[in-house]
Amino acid sequence: MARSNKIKRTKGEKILFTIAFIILAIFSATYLVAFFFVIMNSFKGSIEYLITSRFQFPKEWRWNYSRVFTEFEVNGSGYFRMCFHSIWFSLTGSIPALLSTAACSYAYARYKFPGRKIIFLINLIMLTLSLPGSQVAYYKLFCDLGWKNNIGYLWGCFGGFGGQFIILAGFWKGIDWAYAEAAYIDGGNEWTIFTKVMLPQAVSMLGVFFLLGFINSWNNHEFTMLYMPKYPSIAFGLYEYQAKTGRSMDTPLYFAGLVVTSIPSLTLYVLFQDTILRTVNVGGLKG
Amino acid sequence: MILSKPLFRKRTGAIRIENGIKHGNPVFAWILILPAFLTWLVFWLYVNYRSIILSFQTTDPITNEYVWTLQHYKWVVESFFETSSGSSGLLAICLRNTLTYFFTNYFIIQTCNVILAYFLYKKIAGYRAFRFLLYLPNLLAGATMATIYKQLVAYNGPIVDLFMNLGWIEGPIRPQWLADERYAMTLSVIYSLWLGVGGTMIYSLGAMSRVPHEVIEAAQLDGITPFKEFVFIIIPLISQTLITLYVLGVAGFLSAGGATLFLTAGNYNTQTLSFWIWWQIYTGGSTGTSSALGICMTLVTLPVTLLVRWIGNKITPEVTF
Repeated sequence: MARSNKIKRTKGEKILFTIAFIILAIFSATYLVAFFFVIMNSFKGSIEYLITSRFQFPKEWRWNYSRVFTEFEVNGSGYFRMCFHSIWFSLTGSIPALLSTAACSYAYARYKFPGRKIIFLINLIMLTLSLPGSQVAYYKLFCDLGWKNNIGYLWGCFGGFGGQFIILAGFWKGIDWAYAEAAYIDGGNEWTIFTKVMLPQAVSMLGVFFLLGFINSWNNHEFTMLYMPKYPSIAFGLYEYQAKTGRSMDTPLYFAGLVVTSIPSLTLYVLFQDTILRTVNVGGLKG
Repeated sequence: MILSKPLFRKRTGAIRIENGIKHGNPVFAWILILPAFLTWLVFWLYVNYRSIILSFQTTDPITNEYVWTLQHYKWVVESFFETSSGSSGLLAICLRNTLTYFFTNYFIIQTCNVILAYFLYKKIAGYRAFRFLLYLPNLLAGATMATIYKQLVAYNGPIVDLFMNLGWIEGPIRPQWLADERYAMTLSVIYSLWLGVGGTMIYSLGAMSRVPHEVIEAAQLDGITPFKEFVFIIIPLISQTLITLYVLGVAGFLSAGGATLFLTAGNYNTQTLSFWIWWQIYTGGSTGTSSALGICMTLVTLPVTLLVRWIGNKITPEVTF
C-alpha cells in the first residue's frame, strides 16, 4: 500500500515543529552566512579586505583562486604537492585501518576460536579506557623507529578495534550463513568465502566508512603537524600558512584556499549523504 | 522486534554453526585478526607500557642516564594548586577549561543533537537541507570554521560592529575578545556550541531511521503525542546507540576540548588538559610530566566510565529489531 507523503500534524505538533524549524533554520543560516562571508571575501584584494567592511561585496572582483595554485606555499610544498600529500594521507589513513577492522570483526563475529573473548575485551578496553598520556610514548616510538617524516608511519595506520569494530561485527552477524554454505558446497575455502562472498556484501558499509575516514583524514592537521611536517597536507598547510604569515596574511588568498580545500569533502558528502545515514548505526557495548 | 536471543543450532557436514558462529579452524580466524592484534600490541599495549615507564623516569643531567623518580607526579599534583603568587595552578586552569568543554559537549550538545535528530527523523520542513547544513562543519578542515569565527568576532569584525552600533560596547577602543583572558574561554566554548550541533546527530539519526515504521504507526493510531513518541518509543529503541555515545563521551571526559589551537593557540587561559599534553609533544616539552598527567587522567576517568557503562546497561533493555 502506498503511504501518503503528506504528513498531517495536530495544532500542538505544528507549534512544536515550527519552533524546531526556527531553531534549525537559525543554526543553518549562521553556517550559510559564514560560508557566504568566506566566498565573498575570497574575491577581494588583500588591501580592500583590510579597509572595507567584511560584509560588503568586493568593489573590484579578483580571481584569487588561480593564485591558490601558484602562490600558496608551506614548508617548500605548493598547493598541488600538498594536495597530493592530503590524498596520500587520506588513503593510507583510511584503507589499511578499514581492511584490518573488517577482517578482525568478521573473525570475531563468525568464528569461535581460542582468544575470542580477549578480542572482545580488547575492543571494550579501547572504547572505554582513554589514555591521553600515551600520545607522548606514541610520538617517542615513532621518533625512535625513525618513522617521523618516513613512510614507516604506514605501520601505524592499521586499526582493528573501536566503534567500527562494533558496527561491522553486528553487520557480519546479521548475514545469512547460507551464502557461505553454498560457497563451501561449490568448493570454496575460508578465504574465498571471506573475500568473494562476505566482503562484497559489506561494500556499501565499507564504502561509507572509507568516505568518513577519508574526509576525516583529509581534514586532519594534527597527524601531519606532529609526524610528517616535511610533507604538509592541505589541512596542516592552511594552519601553517596562517600561523607563519600572522597579520601580514593575504586573507582573501587564504579564504580562496579554504574554499578549494573544502570542495572534495563537501562533494563526497553531498553525493553519499543518504547512504551514509542509512549505513551508520552505532550498536551497544554489551558484546 | 525481538526481545530475547533465539537459539538455533545447525549442522552442515563438518561445519558446526551455533547462533551464526562457526566453530573450528581457529588458524584462519587468527590470520584475519593478526594485523589488528599486532597493531594493538605495539601501538596500544607497548605504547601505554612505555607511557607508564616514562612517567616515572627522568634523565640525570650529569650521567645522561634514566633514573627513577616521582617528580613528574609531584609536579602534576602541585600544578593543580594555587601558586605562591596566589593565582590558580596551570593544570587547575586546564582542568576547569576541560570540564567546561565536557559539560558543554556532553550534556548540552549531545542532548540537543538527539532532540534535533528527532525532528529531522520526523521529516520537518526542509529536513534534507538541515541534515546537510548541520553536518557541514564536520566536513571541513578545523582551520576553516575557526578562521571564519575568528574573523567574525575580531576587533574589526561584524559582531563588534553590530554591538557598537547597538551601544552594547562603548568605544573608542574595540575589544579583542579572543585575546582577552576574561572572554577568550567563553568565546571558545560558544564556538564549540555553535559547531557542535550536528556532530553526533548523524548517529542518532541513523539509529532513529532504523526504528520499525510499524511501531510508530501503531502508536500514532493510538493518538500518541510527539513528546510521548520521543520519550517512550524512540529513546528506548535507540537506547543502545545513546548509551554507547554517552559511555564514549564519559571515557574521554578529561580529554574534552575545543578548537584551542586554531582560536587561541592555548593562550589567554584557554588550555585544556589534552591540549597541554599535545602542546608538550609539539613543542618538545617534558615527556615525563605529560605521561604522568595522562596516567592521572586515566585513573580518574576509568572508574567513572565503568560506572556509567554499568548504569547504562542496567537501565536500558536489550532491544534488537
